[in-house]
Amino acid sequence: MRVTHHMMVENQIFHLTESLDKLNQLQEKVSSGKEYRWASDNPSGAVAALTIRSTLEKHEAYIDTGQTMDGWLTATDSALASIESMLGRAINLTLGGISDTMGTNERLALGKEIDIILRQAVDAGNTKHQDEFLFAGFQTNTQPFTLVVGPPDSVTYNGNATTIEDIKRNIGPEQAITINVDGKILHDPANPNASIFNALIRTRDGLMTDNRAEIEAGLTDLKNVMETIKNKHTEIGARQREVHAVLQGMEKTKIELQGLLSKKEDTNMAEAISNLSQQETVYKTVLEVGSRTLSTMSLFDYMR
Amino acid sequence: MSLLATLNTAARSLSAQTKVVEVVQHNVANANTPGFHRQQAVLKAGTPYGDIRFISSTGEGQMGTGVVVEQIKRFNLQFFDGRYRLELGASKQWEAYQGVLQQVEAILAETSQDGLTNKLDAFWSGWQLLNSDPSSLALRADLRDRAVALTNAFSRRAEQLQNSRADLDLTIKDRVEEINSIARQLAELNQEIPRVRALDNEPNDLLDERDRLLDRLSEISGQQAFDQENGENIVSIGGHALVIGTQTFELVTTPDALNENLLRIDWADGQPFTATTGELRGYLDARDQAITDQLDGLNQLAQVLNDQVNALHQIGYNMATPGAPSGMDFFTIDDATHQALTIHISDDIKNDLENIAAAETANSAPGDGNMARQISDLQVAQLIIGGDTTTMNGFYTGKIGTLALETQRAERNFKNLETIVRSLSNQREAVNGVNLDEEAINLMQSQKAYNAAARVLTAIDEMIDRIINSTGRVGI
Repeated sequence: MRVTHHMMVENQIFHLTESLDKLNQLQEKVSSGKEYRWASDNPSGAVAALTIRSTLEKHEAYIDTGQTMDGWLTATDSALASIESMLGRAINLTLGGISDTMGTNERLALGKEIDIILRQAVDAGNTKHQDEFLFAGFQTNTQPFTLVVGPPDSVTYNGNATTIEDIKRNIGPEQAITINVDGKILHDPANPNASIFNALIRTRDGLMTDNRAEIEAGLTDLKNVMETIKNKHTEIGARQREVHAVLQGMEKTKIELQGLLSKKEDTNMAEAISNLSQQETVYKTVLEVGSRTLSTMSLFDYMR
Repeated sequence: MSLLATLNTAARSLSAQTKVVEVVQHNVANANTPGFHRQQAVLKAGTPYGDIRFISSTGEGQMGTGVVVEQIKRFNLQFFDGRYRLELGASKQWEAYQGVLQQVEAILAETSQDGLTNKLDAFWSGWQLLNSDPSSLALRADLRDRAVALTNAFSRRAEQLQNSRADLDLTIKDRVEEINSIARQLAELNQEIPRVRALDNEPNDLLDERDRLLDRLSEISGQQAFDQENGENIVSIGGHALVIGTQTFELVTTPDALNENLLRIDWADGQPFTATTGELRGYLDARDQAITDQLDGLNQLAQVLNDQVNALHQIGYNMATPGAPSGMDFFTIDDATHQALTIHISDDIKNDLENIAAAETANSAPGDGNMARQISDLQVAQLIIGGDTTTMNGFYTGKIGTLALETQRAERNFKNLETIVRSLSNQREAVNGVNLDEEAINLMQSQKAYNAAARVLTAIDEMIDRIINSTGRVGI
């Protein structure tokens, strides 16, 4: 092919530009630490990275809520545990009080002890976690139980009105867990026999007035509510275990996702740097060759 | 032939060699001129001189009369021109297209921390956090901030995409004007070239000019040019004549009410203009397809986000009027055809954080964050967006993927075509380019010939001197 000087210049410029472009790309990879700058540099990688990053973000939010859920569940768990032990103690006292060997004065003393348990139980029912009442349904700002000193003594419930209200939190996409125990499980005004407070009041009054039939009825009530509380307690424990398991899984997934994201987007430095130095050599060579060929004179330089 | 007549032969030789040098000079001078075609002075032996009465009788035959320049030849292969211009148009089309797409990618900035998907994720997380403590005003404020960041991200993208469409309009108008100007110059050449041809001359530099114009026209819009016998050229674009003889058919641009008042290109006679290739095609495709596609995607996403969130928010209960469903929108879209541009949080939400409806049941308020939970669950809801069943994030990620692939395709097409154009351009250059070495040799050759002719002239001069001054002086 007939070669002209213009052609050589054009080709030289083309190769220089191309070489510089490659150098620039590699340099950007190394200095930014990212495998690509625009999605079009690597469409499939970029879309995968986008999805991973979005999943990661969701995971972090779920881990956040998971931890607050864990807090609630732990608080509820310990409140229920203390109520359970109070009820256990009350049942033990009542079993002692029902014995024929007990006299009126001794029963009165037992009744007083149960009175203290009653007050403790109301306090436990009003447990707060991070300034929110655990057993008030959605009415987390309202103290749920108030002991009204009689006679007759009674406990009013100021929480949610009629229905059982479940506070649900998401631990995963569309995977909600109820974290509260509604106050009506402890004390439902509509069902006075299934109330820990009423059972305690009834037993206390029975003991104090030495009324054997009332003591026995109170004992039955106590045993019934104890059963309910135990069930709820187990339930909360199970939920807590679930939250723990999911949290643990998510922490693990999070680390895996971060690794995956880094694999998709981050520059393989060893590779990039060695490519860069190779490309540098190429570019230098192109420059060197260019300076030789382009400055080569034409025949004109040799004409006398 | 007489002695005196041989002076003419020598003189003709001197002038012919001078012309050759002149052409070399022209070539060397234009070695770097774009579109210049190498020229050559074609030498030819002069018309032989033979007087039938005297010479033929002696049988010595015709006598030569030295050398003349027959023509100044212009090196050109039309076959290469056609191929070159075809590929040039296609290459420019993809170059223009990918240039715009790269801009669009930069506008959407999805690979950075500032991506729309990031903002969308943050928005959903905001609802989820509110679910964990529904009465907290701090979390409500945080959610509102996230929502504002999201709507801003939408409108910023929509605005910049619209701006880049409008910017493209300037370039398009510019190119259309350039086509019209080229058409007028071609028409002038259609007048000049046949005139020079009629005088039996080769209008080499005018032909260069025409080739240069046709090259540029191929870059802008592609063209078909047909040579007429008289040297005129008929040029058309996409099947519509642009230049016939000295007549031009120009293009006009008018704002198109059906297309956001962006320019549409028509022929002056009212027929619609279609660019089949070239920069214009690239710009038009980018303006009316690639960017519009992304804008549509943003609009569809903004609409779905608006509809879905509002539907739940309306039936949710807020803190301000806990007795009845809020009935309030969370987002508002001002212009139903520019959703992404005009989406913002509703005034109710802007004015009062207590208007955010996080609760699912009436009168419940503080602990009830179930509506917030349901809204945050929208992030995984399979919805029908733009005809596909997908999540909102999935839809947008898909759009970004499509754009990335399209940009990559444009880039590859451009790179491939550029290589072809380069090799064709080299082929063309091999025929019509100036090689300085060749010119140097030609120069030396003619210089030698000129010197020799001058020497011959001196010899004849001496001969005449001898016959005039030194003869007839016998015995003096």
